[in-house]
Amino acid sequence: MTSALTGSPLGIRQGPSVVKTNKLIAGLAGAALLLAGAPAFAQHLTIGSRAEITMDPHYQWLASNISYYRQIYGSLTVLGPNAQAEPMLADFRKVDDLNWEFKLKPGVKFQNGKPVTADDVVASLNRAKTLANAAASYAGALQTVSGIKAVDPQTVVITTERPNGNIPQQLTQIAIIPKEIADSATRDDFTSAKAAIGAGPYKVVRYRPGDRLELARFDDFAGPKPHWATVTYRFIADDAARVAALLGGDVDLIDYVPPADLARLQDDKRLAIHTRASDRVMYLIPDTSSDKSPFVADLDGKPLDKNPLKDVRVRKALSLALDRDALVRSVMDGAAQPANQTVPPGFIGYFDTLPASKFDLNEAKQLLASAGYPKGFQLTIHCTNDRYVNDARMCQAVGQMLSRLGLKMNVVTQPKSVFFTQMTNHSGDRGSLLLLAWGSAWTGDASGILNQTLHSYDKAKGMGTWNLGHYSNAEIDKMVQEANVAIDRDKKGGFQGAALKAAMEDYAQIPLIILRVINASKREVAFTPFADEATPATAARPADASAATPKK
Amino acid sequence: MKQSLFARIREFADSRVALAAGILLLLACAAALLASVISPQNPYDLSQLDIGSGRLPPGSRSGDGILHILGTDDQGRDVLSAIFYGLRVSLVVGVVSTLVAAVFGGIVGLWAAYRGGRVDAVLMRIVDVQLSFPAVLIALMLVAFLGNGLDKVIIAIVLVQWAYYARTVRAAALVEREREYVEAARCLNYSAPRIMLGHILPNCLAPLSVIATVQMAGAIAIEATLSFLGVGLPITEPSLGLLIANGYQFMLSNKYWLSVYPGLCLIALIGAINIVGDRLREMSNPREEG
Repeated sequence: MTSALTGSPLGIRQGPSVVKTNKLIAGLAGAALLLAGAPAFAQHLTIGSRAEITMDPHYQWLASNISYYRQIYGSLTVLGPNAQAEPMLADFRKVDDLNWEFKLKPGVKFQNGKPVTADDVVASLNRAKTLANAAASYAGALQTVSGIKAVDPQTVVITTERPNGNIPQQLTQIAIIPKEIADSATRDDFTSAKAAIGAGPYKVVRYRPGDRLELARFDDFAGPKPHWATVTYRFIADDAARVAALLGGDVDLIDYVPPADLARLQDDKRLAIHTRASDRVMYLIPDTSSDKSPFVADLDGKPLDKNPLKDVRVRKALSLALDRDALVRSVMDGAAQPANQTVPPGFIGYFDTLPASKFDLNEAKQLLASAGYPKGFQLTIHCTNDRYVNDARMCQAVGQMLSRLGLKMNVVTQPKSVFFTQMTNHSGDRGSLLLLAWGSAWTGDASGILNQTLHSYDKAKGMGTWNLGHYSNAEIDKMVQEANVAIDRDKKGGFQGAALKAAMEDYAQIPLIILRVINASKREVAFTPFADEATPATAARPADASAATPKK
Repeated sequence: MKQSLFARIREFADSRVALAAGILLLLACAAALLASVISPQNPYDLSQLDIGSGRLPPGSRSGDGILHILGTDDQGRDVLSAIFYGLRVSLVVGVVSTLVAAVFGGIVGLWAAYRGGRVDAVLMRIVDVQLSFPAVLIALMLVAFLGNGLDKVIIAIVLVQWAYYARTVRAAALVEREREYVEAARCLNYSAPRIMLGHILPNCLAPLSVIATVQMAGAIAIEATLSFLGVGLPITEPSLGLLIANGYQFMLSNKYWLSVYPGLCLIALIGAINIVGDRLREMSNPREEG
């Protein structure tokens, strides 16, 4: 599965805002005392994490996994906090429109002491592309890649079938491991940590499934040396339990802070909040293709002879009936912003002049009546209940608002394993109205949303993999393809913006909100939050003296 | 020895605690039966909810003028109304699953005791295996397999609980089987079902009814647990367990009323059923008087 699970759009170039840094009436003496008083803290970091790691780095494409892999295995490039691709194990340059050269940095070593060579890179990329039975294949991250070649022990050339400026971004997703491991290791070898050898700044000490992952600093790492000598990730899936672990002092840093607890945590002088806009937009997908949609019926529950969601007036009515400000305020406790398109501002392809999404229940009712449904119809919305922040609550709130429009709404929330299995079944019944959130960090622009969620579904070409409503519009497809081959950045952005605008005006997707990334830590820990929701230990450091001073 | 109903109620009421529990139970039944009449809001009707009135503290009034005595939950659902409706779910689950499980388990127990030998051995080993797993674990697996919904939850609870009845009834029936009246019935060439149901079963009813009250409380607790874990009932039709689960996410931000009131209600309901069951057992067994 790709970006609905993985991504987040990069965008929003505003820096991280560390709430309550301005409480720093600093006393140097006090700071020194405090630092001296906590020596153990300075070397070890415990992170309470919602998502557990999948140890095999090419088995399941999830942003939460890549957050771990970038520390253990490393990759040719790595995403920065604003989702920009930066060199990690290799420097890169564009040779021509179709070829990219990656030159391994001098002295990069695996944790078993052997140097990283071009053969290791080729073997890793090939494994990512072809691993059998992968739960969510990384092949999607290597979209357009047609050739991977080692030209000398330090250099790999990657060839694409069409011009693709996103190659550095896409390679942030692929972990690099030694060739002999890539060729022969099984999933069990990774899970037992025997094969968990990479070139990242931390090596695996111990992995206990369902409980914790213990890491130790790899001192021969070629890049910047991380601050913490040892790091423990504790897997705490339950939101309240994770917050309680931070409050109780069991962990130093947590991810996915539930917005409902934000106010309480901000008031706690022992803690610091680290927040920024996410690259992820939450949106609804209507079934725009089926002649009879599986979860639409008339008010008595009998099937309708046609699919009302194929009518753009009905889709517009759904959008008009949604009070996004109320969703932000009441469901997300303010930790979000209303969205008018499925790419957040700051990304290439974001359409600046698209008007804000409007809330007008009367107009929505009139539209519904003019489409031939003055009394509404029955509709089921399907959502996950363990994938996105507050997904189940958002689902109910959307159900509420649409039932005010006059629809008879059923709300179904499912664990992500069940939901994604049903909804990505492109040949069977999926759903009539789905809630999803898409992030674009892994592409850095609108190309993820356009190619994977709006372009007509085409299995052979790997297009529309996440187009779960099977929306299909020849004009938009044409614009998307033009954007894909455009080389000039502005021109590409222009095509992407036009395609996105056309899709939004056709209500192919109904954007809801742009999420926020919220991390919380003990006051003594500083952290730079990531747009793609990663929580690497490498981004944490001791807070500077002034911030660590207790408020008088 | 037959007593008048009135005399039996008087005897029941000799225990003040049991009397209080009995009244509580009757109130809960009344609230559940009349939920749609006495609730200020239909908490299962999405169009009556307003997310803007979410998480109001107890005693607040929302935009449409409803007084929320116990506050509202995160979706703007009136907690008091949700408790009434939730009680209905709990009692339906408790009563229906208890009846079905008692009938099914009772028949299996009778059959095993009456036949004896290999039938008995096979049936009781199945019961043993089932009893060796925690009830909630089995119910969880069954619901994961069957899917969500009230009917599925009831089926899962029946499949978990029948074994207790089978065990109990078999034990009682084994004793009865050796009595002379069964011998006599056999001599008259009565059919096996007639002897089992017409003669042995009535004498096993006392232990059956005792275990039924305990299991009813257990069934309600299992439903609440399943809903708390998110695998029981649909999220828009919360039972008490689901209300507790939803509200518990807000405990740390001091929105206690979302969880605490449904929780107290669940404790009171299960406690009352257990106390009433205990008292009924005492009354049916003169040796425990005193």
